[in-house]
Amino acid sequence: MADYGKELSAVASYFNVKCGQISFTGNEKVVCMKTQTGTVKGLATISRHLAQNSSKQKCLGTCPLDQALVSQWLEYRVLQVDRCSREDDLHRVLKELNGYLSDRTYFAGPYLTLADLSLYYGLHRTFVKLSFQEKEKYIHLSRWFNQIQHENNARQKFSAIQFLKTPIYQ
Amino acid sequence: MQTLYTYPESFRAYKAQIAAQYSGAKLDVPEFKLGVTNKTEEFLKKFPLGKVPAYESKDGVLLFESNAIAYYLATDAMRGANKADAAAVQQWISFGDSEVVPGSCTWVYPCLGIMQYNKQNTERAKTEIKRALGVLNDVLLTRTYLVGERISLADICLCCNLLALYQMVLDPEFRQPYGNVNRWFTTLVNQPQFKTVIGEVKLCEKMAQFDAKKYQDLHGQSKPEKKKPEKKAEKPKPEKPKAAVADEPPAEKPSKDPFAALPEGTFVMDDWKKVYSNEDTKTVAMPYFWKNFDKENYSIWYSVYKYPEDLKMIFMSCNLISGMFQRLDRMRKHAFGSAIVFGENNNSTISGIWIWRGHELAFELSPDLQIDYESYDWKKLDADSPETKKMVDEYFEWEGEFGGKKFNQGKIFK
Ligand SMILES: N[C@@H](CCC(=O)N[C@@H](CS)C(=O)NCC(=O)O)C(=O)O
Repeated sequence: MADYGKELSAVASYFNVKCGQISFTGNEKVVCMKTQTGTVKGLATISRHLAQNSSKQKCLGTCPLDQALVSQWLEYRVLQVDRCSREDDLHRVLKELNGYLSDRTYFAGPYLTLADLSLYYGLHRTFVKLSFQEKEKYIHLSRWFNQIQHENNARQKFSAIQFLKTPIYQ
Repeated sequence: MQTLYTYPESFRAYKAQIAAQYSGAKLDVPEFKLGVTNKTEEFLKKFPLGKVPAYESKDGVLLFESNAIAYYLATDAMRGANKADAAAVQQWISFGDSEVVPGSCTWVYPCLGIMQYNKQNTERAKTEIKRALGVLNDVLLTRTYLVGERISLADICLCCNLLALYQMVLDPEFRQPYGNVNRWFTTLVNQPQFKTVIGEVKLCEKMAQFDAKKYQDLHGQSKPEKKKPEKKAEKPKPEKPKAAVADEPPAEKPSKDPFAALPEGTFVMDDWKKVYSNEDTKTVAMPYFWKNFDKENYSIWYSVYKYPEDLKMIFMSCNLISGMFQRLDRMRKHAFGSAIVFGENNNSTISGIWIWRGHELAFELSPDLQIDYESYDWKKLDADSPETKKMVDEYFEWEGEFGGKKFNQGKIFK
């Protein structure tokens, strides 16, 4: 299970806003965050809420297409990445993301958005376990992952992952 | 206030202007007449090479060479975060200048008609560019940006060096093997700091070829055939022997000054040109002009380019004008003109105001003045009318209403 508490506090720090109290409710253990006006539910909605209240509005996309892409990838993060129960599910997801990033620098638009942050946090626990050989197999995804972990204030308490700049298995 | 001297749309000036976008430095780019501003005594005193871009700060920092100017204007972080990164930034800037720019010019210039096409040279240039792109593609496989994990001067300079290639000749098939470079380039040109400076960049769809007609227009010695309005497919014909001598004077050029037979009058062309080049146009030069202009022996003409629908990029229009000026060299002693490009890329017109000795269309005096004039409509203006005065003032000052046309840039024949 991904650590949503750690992630949301990282997102809040990235956006330089206050993170409300986090809890998990119901049988499904849906993540919730308390705000001044009420409770916000679900990882994607909370992340978006934090970004919206920051000075980095740009991270939600600056044109309708980019905004749609941000939403799409926030969904993907929750519905695909976090629900990979089997090893081969996970590799299907990694392969798909790797293909998508073969001709794009970020997930939406020409700079970092909330979509990148969310996928970065979501994939962190996977990347921790990948061998160098596996990281090279997903070379575009690895290139992207390394970029995001170096963006100012993105990594927070997540560990730094090592990547080789010169591929050795290819 | 800091000043950058440049003509518009220079990929070299872009480097400095983009760096300034990142650091927040505000640059003043004053009106600049290539071949005029950079040849004045005042300019040469500051920048002895007389080339642009050139930079001046209000506290006296003077710089030429675009890479140095960009370095000066950038943020510390963009110069490289540590010694190794700073060196890597320099490495890529030098790589761009030595591995990309020469090949790019050899390949792209003939497509703009600036340079004669030479198959062997173009093929060699393509090989060089392929090699450079291959090297970059490998490096950018594991990196988003060239140095460190952020945009640096290396990215800015190299991106500007590759701009013309990506716009003109790297068609989808040619650039297909360099996916990582394409990704990097597209990301850069879409950064807001790049976009404000260079505008929307459209990647090449069809590889531009040698523009034989434009080349002929710019360099040809012989009179071109009457231009037909409909476009024929132009094959790059190998016209090497002719073109090879295009820049040299033709062997049996009549050495007689075509203007010699005309009365000299009281207007001294040389003096006027000196005043125009060295003094403020509005407050000194124009009053001088109207006081001294000798309408008995000199005439004023208005020229309009006949085929504006053929004009694509602004800088190509400028090249067209420079070429014409070169070919009109023999009338330089007795003529002065200001040619202006109005509008923007893909929607521009060229018109100008000329003065020369005599009352006839000067080009008819000598066959080697006739290359370009058929591409223009010429109208003699009444030197006494207030409309003429307004037009002449506007065209010489590069300022005014121009009948509603939007000034883009101008060139002075002098
Ligand atoms: N290496 C120089 C090249 C500068 C240069 O060649 N400038 C040309 C225009 S692209 C120029 O000013 N030519 C004017 C002349 O030679 O009179 C740089 O990067 O700044």
